[in-house]
Amino acid sequence: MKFIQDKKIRFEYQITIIYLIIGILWIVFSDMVLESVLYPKNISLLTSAQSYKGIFYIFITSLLLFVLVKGHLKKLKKSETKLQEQIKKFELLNQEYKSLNQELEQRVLDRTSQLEASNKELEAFSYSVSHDLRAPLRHINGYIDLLKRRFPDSLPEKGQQYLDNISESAIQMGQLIDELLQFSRTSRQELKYFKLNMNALTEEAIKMIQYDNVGRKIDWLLKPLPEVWGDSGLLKMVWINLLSNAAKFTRKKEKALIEIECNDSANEFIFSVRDNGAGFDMKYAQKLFGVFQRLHSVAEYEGTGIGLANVQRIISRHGGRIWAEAQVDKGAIFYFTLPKNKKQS
Amino acid sequence: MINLKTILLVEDNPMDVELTLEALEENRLANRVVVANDGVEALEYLRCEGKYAHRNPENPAVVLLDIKMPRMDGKELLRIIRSDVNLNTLPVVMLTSSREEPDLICCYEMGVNAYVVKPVNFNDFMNAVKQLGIFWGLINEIPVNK
Repeated sequence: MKFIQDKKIRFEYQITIIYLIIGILWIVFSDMVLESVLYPKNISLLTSAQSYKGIFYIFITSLLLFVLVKGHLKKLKKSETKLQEQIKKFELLNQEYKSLNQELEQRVLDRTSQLEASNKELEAFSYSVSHDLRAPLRHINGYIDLLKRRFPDSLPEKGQQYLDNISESAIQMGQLIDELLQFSRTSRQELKYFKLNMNALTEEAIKMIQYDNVGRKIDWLLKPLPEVWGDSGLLKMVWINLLSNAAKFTRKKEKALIEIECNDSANEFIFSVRDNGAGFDMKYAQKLFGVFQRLHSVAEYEGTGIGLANVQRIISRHGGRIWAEAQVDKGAIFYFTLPKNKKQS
Repeated sequence: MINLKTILLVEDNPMDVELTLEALEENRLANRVVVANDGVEALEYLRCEGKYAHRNPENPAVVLLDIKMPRMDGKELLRIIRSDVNLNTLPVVMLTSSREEPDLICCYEMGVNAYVVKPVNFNDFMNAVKQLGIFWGLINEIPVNK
């Protein structure tokens, strides 16, 4: 029976069993005692004793019932107050949880608005930089040019040369400003995800670079590349930067060889660009992707040093990584990864 | 060349004015340029008000418009020109320092006819301004009866 399996026998069974046992014992023993004393000498006394015994029995059992029920009610009350305490504790916890949640939500909102504000500030800043910083440079250039046109004979050759240097510097500064702005734009601009054919993108980039390097013989080895999810404009910029770097640093080689391929792991594609150019010392590898960082002199290889910083920004915004391996004069390999699944932004 | 239409240059920076005029001078277009220093002055000219009350009321061939200016900026002036029945067919070319995408979108949405970024390199700047002057001042046709 089920109630026996319970450790504590349920209350209703307890009372019934106790009532039953005591009742049976009472009837049996009391009858035995009465009969042995009064039977058959005094039958009428026996009958009245029997009925007194019945009344006494009812009195005793109701007392018993009262005690048992009272005891049980006490127990019930105790467990009820315990339960209520627990409910109170739970409610308190719940409230705490709710207020914590609210606080968190508020914090997220605050951070978002802070971020939005600083993003806006940044936009305003770059807007003002692009408008206000370029104007004086244009003026410097313009007036130097006018000076040279209007008064070509009143300045000695050395003076002309100084003017050329000033002008060249102003133009370079203009270029730096443009590139910085471009860099800040690639960091902020929203990514437009499409399924992209990387081979087509790479071929377009190669065509552009080939156009800029007319007369040079470059062997391009383009292996089949997969389709990826990404922003077409920005990923094209990645290829143009990596491939034009490869073209630039193989300039002094008789036979320039640039290899593009892709391997994959479980959840990402690993693209690589290998060249047989000037390479670099791995000691400086961590400088490679910094803004305006260069590992060669401008006289040797032109450039401002923002290209790879841009590339790194773009790749990391796509959820990928970039790194490079190289040896001086033996070439370099640039690797970058892109996740196989569209990055959830 | 009987077409004697003017070019309205709206530009607050005197150096930019001088350099732009120099570039136009190469094609003898400079003498047809009227300079306004901001949007308010340009609007006075276009509506023949204030110091321009007695000018020949013909509209200019083109408005070369800088964006960043005190008082009324280029975008505001463009908006007013496009919503004014007497001016809404007037060719307007933004001639500005930078290529900011939001500006480009905003100006084209408001109906600008061209958007030119002044190159830092002066030779390129001269070329751009010259071409603008020739195209809008000589080649392009605009409605006469407006």
